[in-house]
Amino acid sequence: MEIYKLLDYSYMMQQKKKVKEKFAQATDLLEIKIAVLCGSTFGEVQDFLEVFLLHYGIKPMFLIGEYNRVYEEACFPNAALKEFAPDIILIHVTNKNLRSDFRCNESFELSLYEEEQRLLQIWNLLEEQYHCMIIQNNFEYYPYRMIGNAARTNEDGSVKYIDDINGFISSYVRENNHLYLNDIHFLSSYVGLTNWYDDRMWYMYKYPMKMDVMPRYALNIANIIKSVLGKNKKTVITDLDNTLWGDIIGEVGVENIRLGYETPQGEKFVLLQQYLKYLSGHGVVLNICSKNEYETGISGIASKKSVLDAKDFAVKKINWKEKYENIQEILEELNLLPEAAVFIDDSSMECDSVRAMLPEIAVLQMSNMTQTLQQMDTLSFFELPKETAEDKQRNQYYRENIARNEEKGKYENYDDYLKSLEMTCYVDKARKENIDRIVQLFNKTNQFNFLTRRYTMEEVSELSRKPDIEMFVLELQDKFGSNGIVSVSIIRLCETDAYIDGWVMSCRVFARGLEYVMLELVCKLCMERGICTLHGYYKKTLKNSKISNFFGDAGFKEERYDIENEVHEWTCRDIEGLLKICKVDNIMIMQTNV
Amino acid sequence: MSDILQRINKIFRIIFENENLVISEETCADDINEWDSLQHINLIAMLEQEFGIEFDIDEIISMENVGDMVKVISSRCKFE
Repeated sequence: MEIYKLLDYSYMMQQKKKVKEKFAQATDLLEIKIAVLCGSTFGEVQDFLEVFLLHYGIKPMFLIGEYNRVYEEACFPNAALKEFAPDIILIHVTNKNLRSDFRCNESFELSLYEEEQRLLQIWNLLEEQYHCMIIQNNFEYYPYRMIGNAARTNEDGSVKYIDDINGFISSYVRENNHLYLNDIHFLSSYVGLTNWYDDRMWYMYKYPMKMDVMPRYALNIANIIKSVLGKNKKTVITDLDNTLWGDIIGEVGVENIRLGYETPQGEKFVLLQQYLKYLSGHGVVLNICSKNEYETGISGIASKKSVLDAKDFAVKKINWKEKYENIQEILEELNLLPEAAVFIDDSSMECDSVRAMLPEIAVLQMSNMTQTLQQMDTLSFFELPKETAEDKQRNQYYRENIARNEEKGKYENYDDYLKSLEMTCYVDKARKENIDRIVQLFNKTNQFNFLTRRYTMEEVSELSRKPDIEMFVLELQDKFGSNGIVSVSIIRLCETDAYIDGWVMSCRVFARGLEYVMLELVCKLCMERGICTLHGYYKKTLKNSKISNFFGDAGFKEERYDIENEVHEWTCRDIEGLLKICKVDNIMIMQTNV
Repeated sequence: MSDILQRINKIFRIIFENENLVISEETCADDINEWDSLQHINLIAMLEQEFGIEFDIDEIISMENVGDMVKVISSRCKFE
């Protein structure tokens, strides 16, 4: 995988220009402003970070602070930073920036306390001033421990010092939504401290780590950013034979597949299954795509040796069809785009054919278990951002959707099916409790998103306080369970006109009629407020063509096309007529009372 | 062009993103616009990987032109 190869410093140096040129041509890049407060030289990391972010469809703009002025730039008036208005502030520090005089005197407790207070002050002031996401490094161990193993247990030990500060940072990050951790403590352990440090680079250039490590450092930061911006993968589609277990089940029989702790060849497959099981517990949807007889394939999963069982998989395509066809069907059932999926298979032929047919899918070829897991792990396909209640529920939602699909098969008439779902839509406003999910919906939704404008938490809470803005937040429930908050709109009212400035709906609930519930709510609002004209907008991206004529179909007239911003504007002057079109019989509407 | 100089030339082409760059022993930072301190570190790191050696600080500081680099590298790579 190209992005994985870029972790090699010399390959990165050779390729970075080409990669940048290639990705800079993409039309739907997400622009983001990153301010870096530097405890040490940022230098080359900026370039590497840009390369990885472009890979994820994110175009960064940087403001790089002065060397070793983190505290001053964060805690005193900073006009440049204010004007830059960052979306993200990255605090690029390492243990070189910590007070280390605890080593010379008895001030361990004091040093620790002062460092913690300094960090707190930086975080709080940044949050107050700039209301944006902050990425904070934790700290790597010092390369020397003067009192040996006791450095971890002794009151003034240098290992204990780092552990204590890191523990303090972790617990603060857990409690604070705007703060994210860049775990360089793990990174430095992963590459090994002897491969992390390069004293010459520090003495001469104030680089805190070896050049070779910098791509990995940059990728780790890029992974945090892409996860927050909704660029994570969402689903794994896995093969069975020689992927979830060793050998071919159709040939050796279920009793002879290699899986379990009894044999060295079987143990590695347990590891992958456990890895996937853990992911599934954090909202990653697992599916099977295997060339086998259905019963034979299932018997492997059902066997006592298997960590994963049939319930852990949403869609199971076990048949003799071409894999890419099965994958397309899986994605259709889940309403996901290929770019949201990771495909794992041991056969290079299958992998190549899937790559050729569905180039947006991340393909992991299982040639060597250790390598496969390392790749999956380092690329952090499923980097967990701050988990919303919806994230934890996601697997539940998909499972319920599968049940809905089965239900659909029972009805000849789609309308009868919708009726049978017994849907209720709860209408709410933006509130402190649901703001995380609103932000997430705007930032992650690609298909049913009219302007694909991304919002920060601060922007949404500001909008929700404006008197001329109405926001509708919809939760959809049916007899299979709740889908959670799945649609949000932002309506701006100005005298006799209303403007749909933002509208998103999760792909989870396509084709249920919920979009008309939203229009109905908007129409009623317009009538209450004496609005004569309703304006809707559409900006084409690679992913939202499904709704390109939505307003036209609903009876709006195309008013004009703003060439500069590539935005189509539609208007409706017959609000009563629109309301009639929007009557949805199959969904009961309830107001949430707070 | 000596073998070492050729290999150094290859690294220069990567770092300064110029496929046609030709250097000589006299080439120094004044001759290449982009040769600043930041790129100097990249040069050093790439040369170390290419030749499988590690320079010490005195050596890095002493390398003011390509000839200096050839000298240091050939003194370290005894096979030359």
